[in-house]
Amino acid sequence: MIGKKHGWESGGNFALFVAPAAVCVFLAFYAPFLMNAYYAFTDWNGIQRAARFNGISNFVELATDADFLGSVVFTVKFAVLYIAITNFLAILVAVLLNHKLAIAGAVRAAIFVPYILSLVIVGFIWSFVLGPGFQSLAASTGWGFFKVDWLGDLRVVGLTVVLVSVWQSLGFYVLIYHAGLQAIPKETSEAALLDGAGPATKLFKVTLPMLGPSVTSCFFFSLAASIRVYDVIVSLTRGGPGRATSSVTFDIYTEAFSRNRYGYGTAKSLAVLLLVVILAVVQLRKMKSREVEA
Amino acid sequence: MKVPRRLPAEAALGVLAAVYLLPVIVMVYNGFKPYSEIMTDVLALPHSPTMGNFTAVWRDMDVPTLFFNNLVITAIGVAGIVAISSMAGYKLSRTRSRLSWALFLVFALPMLIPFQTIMITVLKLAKTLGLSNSVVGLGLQYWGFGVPLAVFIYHGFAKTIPRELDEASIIDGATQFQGFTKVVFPLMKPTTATIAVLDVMWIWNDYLLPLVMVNSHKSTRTLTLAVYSYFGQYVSNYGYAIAALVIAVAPSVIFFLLLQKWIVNGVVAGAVKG
Amino acid sequence: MKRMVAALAIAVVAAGAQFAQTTTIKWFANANEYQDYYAQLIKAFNKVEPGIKIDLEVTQDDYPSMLKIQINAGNTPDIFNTMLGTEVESFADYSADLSSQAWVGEVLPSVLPDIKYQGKVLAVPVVQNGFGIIYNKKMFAEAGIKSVPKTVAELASDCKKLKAKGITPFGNGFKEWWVFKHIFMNFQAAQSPDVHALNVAFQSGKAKFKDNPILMSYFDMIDLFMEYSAPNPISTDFNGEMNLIGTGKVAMITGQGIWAEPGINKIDPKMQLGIFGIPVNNDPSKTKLVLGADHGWRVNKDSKNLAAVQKFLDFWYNSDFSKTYWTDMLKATSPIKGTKAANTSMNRDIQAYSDAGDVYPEAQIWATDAFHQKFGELTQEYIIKSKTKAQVIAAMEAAWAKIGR
Repeated sequence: MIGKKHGWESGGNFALFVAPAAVCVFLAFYAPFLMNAYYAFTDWNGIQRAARFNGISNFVELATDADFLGSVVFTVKFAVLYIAITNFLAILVAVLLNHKLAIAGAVRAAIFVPYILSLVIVGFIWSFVLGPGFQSLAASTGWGFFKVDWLGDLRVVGLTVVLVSVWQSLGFYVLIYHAGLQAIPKETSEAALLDGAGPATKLFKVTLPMLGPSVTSCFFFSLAASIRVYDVIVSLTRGGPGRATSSVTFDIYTEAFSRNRYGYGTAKSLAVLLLVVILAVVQLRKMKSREVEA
Repeated sequence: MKVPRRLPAEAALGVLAAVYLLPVIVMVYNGFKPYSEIMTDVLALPHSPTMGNFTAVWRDMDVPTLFFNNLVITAIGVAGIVAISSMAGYKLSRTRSRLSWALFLVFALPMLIPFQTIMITVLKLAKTLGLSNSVVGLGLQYWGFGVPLAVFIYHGFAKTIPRELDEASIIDGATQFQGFTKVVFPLMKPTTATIAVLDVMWIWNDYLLPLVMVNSHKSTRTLTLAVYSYFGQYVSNYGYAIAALVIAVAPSVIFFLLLQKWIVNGVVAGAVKG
Repeated sequence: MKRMVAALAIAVVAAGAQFAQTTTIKWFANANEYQDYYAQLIKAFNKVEPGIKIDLEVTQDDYPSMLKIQINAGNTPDIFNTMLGTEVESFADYSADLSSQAWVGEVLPSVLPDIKYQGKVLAVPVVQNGFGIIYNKKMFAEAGIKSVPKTVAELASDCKKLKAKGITPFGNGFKEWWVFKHIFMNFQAAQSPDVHALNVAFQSGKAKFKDNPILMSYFDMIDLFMEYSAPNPISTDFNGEMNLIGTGKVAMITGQGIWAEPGINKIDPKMQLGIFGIPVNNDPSKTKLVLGADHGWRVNKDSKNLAAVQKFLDFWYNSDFSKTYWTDMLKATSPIKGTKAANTSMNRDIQAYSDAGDVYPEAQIWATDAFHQKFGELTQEYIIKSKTKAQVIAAMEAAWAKIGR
C-alpha cells in the first residue's frame, strides 16, 4: 500500500501533509531543546558570557542533590494524586451531567471557567481565599476547617496544591469524558437496560470499559501536566514552606535562574525528561494496542 | 412525571456549580471595591460598588491597542495550528507504518517539556528568525507550540471518518490535498471547533511566551501582559489587578460560551478514540 | 532673497537635525510600587529633552530571570536593575563605566563603595532603604510603651504589655524568603561592622556560626517573633503582612522597611507608623537601624545611546528635579547629598537614626540572592521543625560557601 503513486498512501503526499507541522514543532521545541542541552555539560551561571565545559559532573551531582531528589518525590506524589483525583472526578461529573438536564451545559461551562484563568491568577485567588478569606470565615463561623493553615501546615500543603490544580483543570477533562460518553452507541446502552442492568451495573460493565480510550488520552494529558506543574506552586506556596512543595520544574527553574546555576539546572531537566519520555512512550504504546482491539 | 423529579437535581447541580466558582466570584466582586476596602475584608460584598478600578485601568492600559494585539496573535496562531495539525494528524492516522508511529511520538512528546527549560534558546532562535518583538511573529510561533495537542486530537478523530471517503474524495482526479480540503476537513468541523476553543483560551490568556517576546514595547504588548503589570511579587494593587483581569479575560470567556455546544459535538469523536 | 534662502536652509537643516536626534532609551525596571513615579520622572525629563524618548518596561514578578533571558538573547536594555554589592561584579560584563559622570560627585560617601567594582562606578543607587521593625505608634502608646525597645529583654516585655491590652504583637510574612535576609542583616552588622569581610569569611567556608554568638541569636529572635505572632505566619505573604498592620490587627511587622509605609497608609491613611532597629541581644549599643542602598541601575556597556542615557541620569540625579524626587515622590531616603528627608512619620524616625549615626550598613548586598533564598527556606524549615537547628545551621554554612558568591 505504501508507495502507491496516486493513492492515499503515496509518499509525496505524506510529506506534504506532515511536513509543515513537523517543521514548526522542530523549530518551536526540538531546536531550542538541542541548543539548550549543551549547557547541561557546562558550569554556566546564566549571566556571564563565558561557560566552561565540565563533562558529566552536573549529572553526578544531581544524583545526590537532596533538594532535587525531594522535588522528584514531591512530583511523583503530586502526579499520582492529581491523575487519580482528576480522572475520577471528571468521569464522575461527566456521567452525572450526562442526563438531559437543561442546566448540564451551564454547569459544564462553570466548571470550565477556572481553566481559562492562567495558573498564576488561580494561585493568587486561592492564596487570598485560603489566607485572609479563611481567617475571616474562621472568625465568623468558628469551624476548625477554616482554622487549618492550608498553605503553611506541612501535613496538608501538598494536598492543597493538588486540589487547587484539580479545581483549575477539571473542566478540560470533563469535556473530554463527556464527549466520550456521547460516543457510546445508544444501542449498547439500551441493550444493557433491556437485559435488566441497574444503573451501577451499566456504569461498570458498559460505560467505563467504553471510555477506555478517553481514559488513556486523559492519562497522558494529566501526566504531562503533572511534570510541568510550576505556576500554581509559585503563586500558592513559592515551593514552601521550606522546600515542601517544590516540584521538579520549580526546582529546575530555581536552579537555573535564581541560584545562577543554569548549566546544572539544564542537566536536571535532561535527567527528568529522559525518565518521563520512557514512561510516556510506554503509556502511549499501551494506547495504540488498545486501538487495534477496538 | 419526570419533570418534577428533575428540578431538585437541577437545583443541586446549579448550587454545586456556584460553589465551584465561588473563588472566582469573590475575586470579581472585589474588583468593584476600592483598595483599602479589599484589604480590610476580602470576603465582604462591596459597600458601595464602584467602577473606579475599571475606569482607572481602562485609561491606564490603552485597551484598544492591547486588544488588537491579542486578537492578531490569537487569530494567526489558531488558524495556523488548525491548518497544519489537521493535515498532519489525519495523515498520520491514516498511514500505518513505523515512520508514522515515530512521527506521532515526535508530535506528542513535546507536551512533556516545561517551557521554562527552553526559554532562553527559544528567544535566541526567535530573534534569529526575526519573530521576536513582533505581534505577527508571536502568532507564528504559536503554530509550533500548539501542534502537539492539536495533532494528538486530530489523530484520534480521524478514525471516525470512513476510509471509503478518502478514496471518494479523489475520484474525479482531485489531488489528495484538494480531497482533504474539500471533503474531509469540513467533516472535521466539530474537532476543529474544539481545538479552536482550547487554543483561543490558551493563547489569549498566555503570559510567559509573550512576556519574553513582545513585552519590551508598548505597541506590541498584549492585554494579558498588561494585567500582570498590576500583579507584583511585592506589591499588588489588587483593585486594579482584578479590574484589569476581568477586562482581559472577558473576551475569551464570551468566545467559549458562544462555541460551547460545538465543542461538545467535536470532542465527541476527537480524543475519544484515542 | 539670498538671506531668505539661507535662513530657510538653516531652518530645514535644524529641523532635520532635530528629527535625527530622536533617540529612544530602553529602560527595563522592577519594583512596580515606584512605577507611577518613573512615569512622572520621564514626563519631567521630556520637558527638558523632548528628543529623547524613554521606553519603560516594568516587571515585578521574577525580574531577575526575565533580565537574564533578555541579556542572553542579546536584548540587553539600555538601563536595567541589579542589586549592589556582589551583583555589581556579576553583571560587570554588561555594565558601562560611569565613573566620570557628574552625578557621581553627588552620591553620599556611605553609598559610594557599594556601587563600585575594581574602582570603577558601575551602578547608580536607586534609593536608600531603612530596615527594621515597623510599629503602630498609637498601639504602643495604648500599651504604655514609652520608648522603642533597645534590648531583646525590652522587646519581650513590650510584647507582654501589648498582649495584656489584647493586641497581637507581631505580623510575620514568613511565606516570603526575603524577609529573613532583612532580619539577619542586623545580626551580621552587630557581629562584625565590616559586613563585606564577614560574608567573605563565610563564603570561603572557614567561618562558622558557632564562633559567632550574635549570629546564633538570630534564631532566638525568630523564636520571639513566632511566640508573639499573629496566626499562620508561615503562610502569610507580604500583602498579608501589610493587611495585618494596616487593618489594626497587629502592632508590629517584621522583615520590612520604608517601602512598606505608602502601602500601609493606603489601607489606613491616618496610621502613624514608626520603625526601630532590631535588638540582637541585651547590649543596647548593638541596636541600630540598617540603612543603605541595595539596588542600582546599570547602563548597558554596548548601548548605542550612551550620551542620551547620560543626560537622563544627570537630570535624574543632579538637577533641581533630584531635590524633590526622593523627598516628595518616593518618600524615602535619597542616596545623594543635600536632599531633605521626606516628611512622613517613618521617614522622620529613619532620619533621627541617621543623624545620630546609629545606623548599620546593609550586609545582604555582599551575598547573592541565591544564598538568601536558601537561607529563607532553611529558616522556614527551622520554624516548622522539619530540620533541627543544628541541621539548619550546617545547611546554611554549606549554602553560604557554595552559592554565596
